[in-house]
Amino acid sequence: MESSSRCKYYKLVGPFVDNELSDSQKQDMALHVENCAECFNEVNKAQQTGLLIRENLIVEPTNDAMREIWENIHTELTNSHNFKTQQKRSVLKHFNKAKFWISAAAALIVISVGTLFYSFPYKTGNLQSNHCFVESIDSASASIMVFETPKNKMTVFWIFENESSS
Amino acid sequence: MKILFVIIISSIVFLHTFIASAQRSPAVFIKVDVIYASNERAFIDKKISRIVNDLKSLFAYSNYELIDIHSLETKYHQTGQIPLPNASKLQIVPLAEQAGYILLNVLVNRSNGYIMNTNFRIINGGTILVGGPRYKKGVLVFAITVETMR
Ligand SMILES: [Zn+2]
Repeated sequence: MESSSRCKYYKLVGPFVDNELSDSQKQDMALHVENCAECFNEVNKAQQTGLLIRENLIVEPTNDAMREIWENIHTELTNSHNFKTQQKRSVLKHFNKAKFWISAAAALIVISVGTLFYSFPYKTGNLQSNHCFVESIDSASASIMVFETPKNKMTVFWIFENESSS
Repeated sequence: MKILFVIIISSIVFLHTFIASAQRSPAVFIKVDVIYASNERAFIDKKISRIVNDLKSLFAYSNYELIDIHSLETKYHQTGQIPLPNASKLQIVPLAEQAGYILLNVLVNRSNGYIMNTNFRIINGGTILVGGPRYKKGVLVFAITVETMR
């Protein structure tokens, strides 16, 4: 008797409260519960509180839920950090054995590369540094002016030849 | 790891021996770009665009052609000679090395005497320009780059 007069959604109240419905079913049910007093009361009864209905209707998590999420994230991060630190420690333990030789080899490579660069200060095609100091200058038949170019700072000796000398 | 160490040590010894031998007779490398500057047309050779962009702010030529490149290896107190297009000669003598600078003597000779004689110190790898000798309808510009091993 009782079952025949029940709303057809009634049988979904339990799964709805237990969060066992699919997303689309959940949405349908949530909409229905808003408009059906019977189901609303059943859901309320099942939960002893109306909070769950709100949680199912509103997607935004509550502050408590957010705090819980952040606590979980923090825990996850802390755990993974600990794991990585542990991994690092075990790698370091290995490294310590070879540490001396690796350091010695690294130092020698640095020294030899440094020596190489210091001994071969080639700047092929590099005109950035063209520092020049003119110590003396003279000409038998021309006038000479000395300039410096603005960009590459190249010293320019410009010879003004007399008509007779060309 | 010990093998690696031995390899590194021996390569350093080799390197130092090589450097020491190079230092005994330091070669001086000289490169001269011979550039023809005129107002015959508006043209800039891409190979010398960097020098020309700098030169253009000083001189009003519109045409810059790279007409010759000379490379020579010389030593201190050894004269390097470069023939120039206008029947003149460029003589370059590296005189000494002083704290990363090379002391040079540069002489521009004509058949009837020198038109420039200068001593200057240039940073190793640096470039100077010598310009002005008349050629065709314009002038010649020499870009002289000097490099040495220490
Ligand atoms: Zn209902």
